[in-house]
Amino acid sequence: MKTATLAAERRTKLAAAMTAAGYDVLVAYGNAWQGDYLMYVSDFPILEGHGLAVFAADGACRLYLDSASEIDRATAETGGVEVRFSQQIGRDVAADLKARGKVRVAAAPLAFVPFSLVENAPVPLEDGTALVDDVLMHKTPAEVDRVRKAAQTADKAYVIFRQAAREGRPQYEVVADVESWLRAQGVADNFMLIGSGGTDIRSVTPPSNRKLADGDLVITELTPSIEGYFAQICRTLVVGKASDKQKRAFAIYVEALEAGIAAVRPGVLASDVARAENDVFRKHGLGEYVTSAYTRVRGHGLGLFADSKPHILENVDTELKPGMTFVVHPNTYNPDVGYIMLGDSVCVTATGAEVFTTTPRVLFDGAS
Amino acid sequence: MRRGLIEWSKTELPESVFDARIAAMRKAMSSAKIDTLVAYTNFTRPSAVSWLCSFVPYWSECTLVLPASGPLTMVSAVSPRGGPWIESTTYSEKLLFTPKIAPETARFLKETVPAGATIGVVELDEVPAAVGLALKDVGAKVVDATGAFVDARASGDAAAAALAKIAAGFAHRALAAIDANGTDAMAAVAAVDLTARALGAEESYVAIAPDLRADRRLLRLEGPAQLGDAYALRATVAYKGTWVRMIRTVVRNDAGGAVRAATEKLAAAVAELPKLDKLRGLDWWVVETARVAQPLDAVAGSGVPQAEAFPAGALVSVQAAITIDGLPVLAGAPAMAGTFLVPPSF
Repeated sequence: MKTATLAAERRTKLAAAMTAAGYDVLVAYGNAWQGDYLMYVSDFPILEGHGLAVFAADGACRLYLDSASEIDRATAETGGVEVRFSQQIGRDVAADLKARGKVRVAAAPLAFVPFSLVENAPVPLEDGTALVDDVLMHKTPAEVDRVRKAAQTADKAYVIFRQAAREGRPQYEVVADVESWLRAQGVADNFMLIGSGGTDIRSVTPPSNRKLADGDLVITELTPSIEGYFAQICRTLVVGKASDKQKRAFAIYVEALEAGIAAVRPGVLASDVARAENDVFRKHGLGEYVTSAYTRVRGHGLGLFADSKPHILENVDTELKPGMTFVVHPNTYNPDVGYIMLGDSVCVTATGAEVFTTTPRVLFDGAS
Repeated sequence: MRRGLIEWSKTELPESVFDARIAAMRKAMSSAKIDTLVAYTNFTRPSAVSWLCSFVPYWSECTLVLPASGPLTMVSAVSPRGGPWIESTTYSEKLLFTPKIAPETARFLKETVPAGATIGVVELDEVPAAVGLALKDVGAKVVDATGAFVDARASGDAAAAALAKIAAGFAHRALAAIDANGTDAMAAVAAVDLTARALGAEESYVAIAPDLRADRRLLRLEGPAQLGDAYALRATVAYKGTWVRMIRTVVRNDAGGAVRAATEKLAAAVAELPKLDKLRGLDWWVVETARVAQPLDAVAGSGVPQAEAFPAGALVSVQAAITIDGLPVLAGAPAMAGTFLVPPSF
């Protein structure tokens, strides 16, 4: 269950940041795709429709939701928040802001708030995205603890995934096994993608009805949440027995992951971690496969969103600081065997990195 | 994100279905003097775009551009590596990839929309600010196309009804999988989720009121909870873009037949739809349907200030709380033309 103290701690931290920046009110937007801004402010993990939380620097919070079926849940699952159903959410929040008189208002993420809010707001909305990103990225010990627990759950869930990924089963049945196991542990949410096959697979997607076949690489990123905080594990297994070619290819990803994690420490940039991973591929003549044609990011932040900032890329200059949590994953396509995934959740400590996930970094197969 | 089976079955949704829907949309556009339609989608607001072309984004966001004539074009923030997946699930003639859909959609419209044209945006109020502001900058007249979209969709079609019936069957089988004598709320939720997903649901959301005598509100369970002697679970199930909700209340030793009585009251109220008189007499109720982008949009309910009209034959999901002998019993099921698609009896 979510704890009220954690929600209160977050609101206090955010209110201090708002006051320092001179904002009277923050409007946080969220939906089930990207709910972290809304969750941080309102403590509500939205599932359906979209929501806007109007948060004043004095700590008062009003939550507008446009899904009628979410209203009961929001009143039951949040504390200290006034919940309102709205059939015209942008216009209603604009009216709310108007009633507050002369105030300075930030919105986050501004690009995603409903168009009608921007069009009808009584004052220009300033972009509060960076302000909220900063409090989202720099986590308190209590927040880090939730990510750590989520990583422990991810390790256990991967055991279930390995058991489920059997020859002849369609991908969606494998995911069903993992999801239901998570529900049986009381885990409310999970971000999960899957792929299976050989050199024909260029990325992961939601599960299809493709059946797992002998010799397939089966890749997944599995990202359960605890109290709204996500942690991720990425692994690859082989249905049946792994070939020497698959094992040789996988060894490069182990080397890249280790290099990436070794680079994590306070003061370095996200780009340094990405470069450490990518240099391993370049050393092995696979530099082409760390470009955007074959892969997206070399890791990403973890917290109230499964794909948050910082993105671990060679052009991202975010400085790493203690309390930041992210996954390091040198996932990409290998021309000899197909797409391989390998990644661990980490936290920046005072001296380096704490690796949360403990599943062995091996290419699992029927012989493992 | 969507974690269920997303696929385009050309048996269940042949191209002719989308051709007919697009024709209906173009007719409504013509009546509303709209030259080009823009619809936005992410997985929380997928219903308008999936109705037009089957596509449901498992992640990220897209816009769909439908001109009065010419190709249906999707502008996708899903990476180009997801192209084969999109093509396999989507009835669309042209795909454009970009990390930022707002400026790319605007650029595309500037190139393709003739001077003086009117762009209609489905749920203009609700689209992300970045999209709305970029469309305003195209130079064309931008209007809200929600009414035109609702008109085009209102008549429904046999394909959508068939998918709803399948989804209702999934929801019923999922709720039937609960061990009614069990005491572990997590196990009950897991049984529903497993059954729905293993049947091929596109999505499954399970909500639970573990102890109706203490609190009738349906929650997303996190952590352990014990089931009381009266509890309820709600299965929200999607199948190929069509969403339904069904509720099962379990009352141990239900000698008075509270669950049956509540279900009968709900059935009587559903039989009168779209009249709402019998629902208005209940403690709490809501009627949801897919009108625009939300797959289940509240059109009427005890907590819905402004009821929206819906046709007698509309596919709806109805939920209610009905007090029987002092116990709040939850009941709910999808229905069409006054009849449950699958009766919520267990």
